[in-house]
Amino acid sequence: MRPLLLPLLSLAGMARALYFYIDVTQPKCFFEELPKDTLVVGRYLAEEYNDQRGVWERHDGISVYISVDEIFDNDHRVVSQRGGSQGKFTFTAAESGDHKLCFTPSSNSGRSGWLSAASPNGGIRLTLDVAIGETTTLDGADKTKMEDLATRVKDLNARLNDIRREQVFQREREAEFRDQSESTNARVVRWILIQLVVLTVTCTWQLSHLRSFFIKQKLT
Amino acid sequence: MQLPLLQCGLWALLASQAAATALTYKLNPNEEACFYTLSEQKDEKIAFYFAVQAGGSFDINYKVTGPNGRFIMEGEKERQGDFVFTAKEVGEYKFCFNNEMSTYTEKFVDFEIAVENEARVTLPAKKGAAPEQTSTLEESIFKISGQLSTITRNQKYFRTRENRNFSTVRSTESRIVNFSLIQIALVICMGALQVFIVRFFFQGARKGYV
Repeated sequence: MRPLLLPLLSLAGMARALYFYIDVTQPKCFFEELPKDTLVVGRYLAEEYNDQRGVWERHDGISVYISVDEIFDNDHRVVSQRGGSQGKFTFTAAESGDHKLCFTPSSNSGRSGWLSAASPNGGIRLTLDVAIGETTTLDGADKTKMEDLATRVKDLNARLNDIRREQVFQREREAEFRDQSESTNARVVRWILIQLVVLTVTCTWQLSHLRSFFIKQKLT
Repeated sequence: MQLPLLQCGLWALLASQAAATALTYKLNPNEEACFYTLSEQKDEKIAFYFAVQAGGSFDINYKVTGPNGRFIMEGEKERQGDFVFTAKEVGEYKFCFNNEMSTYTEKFVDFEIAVENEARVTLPAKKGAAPEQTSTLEESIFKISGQLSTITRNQKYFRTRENRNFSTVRSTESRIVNFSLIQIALVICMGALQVFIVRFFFQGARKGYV
């Protein structure tokens, strides 16, 4: 009874999460801007439509390839793992910036005739539950501890830490924004000066050219 | 040993639960992307938040449909939205984003879909604690949790607006360079044109006639 209950609890959590349909071997990517040291825990469940039984269910032939790249600095790959039809992945953002999470399913069920998600009941149904930050109440095991008030306060504390980290990230970005504004301002001044110089040069050239022209024509 | 664990498990299931997933998705031009969630009980509240983080004029079309294709809400060219609606029927709810308005701009949409069920059970803090004391603390913690959610949401709003500001400044920077170059070219062309026209007037056979 005991070993069964915890996985059942975790599945119960998954049932209320977000799902979507993807083509087999086509990656579906999500972009997240993460502050430094943010922990991301994700659980996924991949199901395929069973034509005989008429329901979506998982089977052992499905595998999902998960990759996380950071796209602000050389596209370095942070996580690269291949799992079965159900699993969990975790990573911590080493630096603040944009990260790309991609999921690519593959199935050996042989339904290759209609594996596109556009056709009815085609493709793979991927259920995702991603928790960004320290509020990881995904594990079935953790839910059983939530009834203690002290643990609830710890959870609040963790969320406050998340907020703090986001604020630090916001300060960094605001500094970048300030730099960008200043450089735009400097650029305006520079180009106006260039334009004034060109205008003066053109005017001088016009007058001198016409003067020499009129002298040559003996009109002045 | 087994029984308390089972009891705790059941209590935990019954306690106030909100399942929320927040993700940012990139919509290619002319793409429609749909996300689904299941509502398992009647009268659950579903909270739907989205904000366009980057791309074009930061707007997107969206449509929310209930089970059996029942229409719930839709919007065109919206920048962000924050809705809570009650799921009157049990079943699959579909949230679709549509980028058909752009021919070559991709849009990044940050969205969060949360399903909340209302069952709240007061849980004992520990054996022997007085129930009135516990429930005041519980209420307090619940309020703080709500306020923290508000702060997080505000931070998301600021992040979205900051992305828009960044995009405006970058576009200003490139516009300055382009328009300055065009102006310089125009000034030089006009200068040359004026000189040569005046020369033309005073040349050749028309020397004395101007």
